[in-house]
Amino acid sequence: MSKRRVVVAHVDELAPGDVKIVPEGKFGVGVFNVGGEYFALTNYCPHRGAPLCRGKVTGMTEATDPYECAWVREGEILRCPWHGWEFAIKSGTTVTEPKRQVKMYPVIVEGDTILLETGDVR
Amino acid sequence: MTIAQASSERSEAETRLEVVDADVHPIWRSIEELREFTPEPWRTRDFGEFEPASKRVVQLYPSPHGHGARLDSLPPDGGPAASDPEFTAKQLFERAGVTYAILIPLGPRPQVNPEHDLANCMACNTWLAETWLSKENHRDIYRGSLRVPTADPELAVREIERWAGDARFVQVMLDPGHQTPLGWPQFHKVYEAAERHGLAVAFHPIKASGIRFLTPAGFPSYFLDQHAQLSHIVAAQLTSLVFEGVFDKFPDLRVAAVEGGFGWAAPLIWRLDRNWKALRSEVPWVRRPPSEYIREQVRFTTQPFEEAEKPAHLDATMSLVGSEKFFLFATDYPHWDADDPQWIFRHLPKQLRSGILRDNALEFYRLPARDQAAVDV
Repeated sequence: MSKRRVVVAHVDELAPGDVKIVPEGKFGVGVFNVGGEYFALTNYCPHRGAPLCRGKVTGMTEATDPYECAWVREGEILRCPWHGWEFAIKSGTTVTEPKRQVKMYPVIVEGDTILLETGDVR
Repeated sequence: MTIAQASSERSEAETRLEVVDADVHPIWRSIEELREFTPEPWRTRDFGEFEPASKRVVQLYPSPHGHGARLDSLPPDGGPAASDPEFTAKQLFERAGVTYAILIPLGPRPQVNPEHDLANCMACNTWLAETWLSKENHRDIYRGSLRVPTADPELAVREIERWAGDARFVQVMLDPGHQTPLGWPQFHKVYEAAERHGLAVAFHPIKASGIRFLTPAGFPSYFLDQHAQLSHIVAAQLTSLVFEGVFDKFPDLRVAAVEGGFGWAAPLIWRLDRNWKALRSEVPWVRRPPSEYIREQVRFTTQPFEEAEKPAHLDATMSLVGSEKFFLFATDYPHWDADDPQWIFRHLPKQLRSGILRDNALEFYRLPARDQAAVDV
């Protein structure tokens, strides 16, 4: 049994910080370029079902003490376009509830082509 | 519930879900649309050659996200979220069949000068009537809320009278954050006018420049802090209306508590009844238990929908209020914390679904039921 592969884009079309939503599955899959690495997340927020991958790619705040606010992980955080839940693009986990995870898919680069590996071919 | 049941329920809902949406926020494409509807001297003052009025609205407590709308609600042809009646209808219909959407425009922010506030409200009401409620109401799904200056009951009544008998408007919006208890006698003429003209009254929070969003503990530091506390202001105003005798004096008055949450409603009712039984002698004009007035005359919108840790807790919370007619479904579209009708449908107690999603609002807003096929996209 082999995996199904879908062409996402030419590498030049998906620069760092970019996302492309591919019409795969019921909700689509967002393929992100985070600093040259590719990650694919289902376009469905586990909170309320928003089109998650249409959210903003951003950073997040972090504090060690009250009123000590740092801005970290710029470009690695996806903020849901509806209620603003923050997700780590690299792991698909949420910042507030790490147990809730967005389904992810493998991304492969063959030559200059970015490919998304989805379900098994039957 | 098995997975098979859940999925068949979902597909049934997606094809048949009919809702009345009790909280949708339209806005003009550009504030210039208000120029012709704004009375002088405010037209010259607000739309003069210098700083446009739109730039002078400074909101306290801006969202940390930097925007107040769902990012996917921005119209494809440009303009702010919910500035395009057709795109708004499409986005609402995408997730549910909307038989009516009650529009609550938040464009005019409360002004400290009540005459200025009235001018802005008048412009907004005329604008809404001329656009979303008439020539752009293609499916006849939109009904409006009148904006009035909460701070000045005389001027508020004057504006209500201007629209008397106009069925396009179904309610009057008041600002619950107005810093005085809205049950006080000077506001009774507003309730009298609303009752006489068959209009409901909606308490909907609205951000403004200056001192707003007072909590019982004072002014909070954060957007998150004030947002989580919207409930308190609604609870305080409902309590004021009960004990100042508003519901007793105006038995046909209908009040919608919009966007204040609802998990606290039943405990508030218990508490008011308990205290009334012991201390009633102070307010003899409150002739019946507070719970009766609230169940009969007040409705709560479901947005922002409480996220209970266990679904059974939510079912209990909703049934504890003791009335099947208590809740009205609302999205709060296009705001960032909007509730999706499909998600809400799946989380409502089964026996309350059709009431909350549609029937309670039809009755509360006195809207005729309609054939869904007539309004489908």
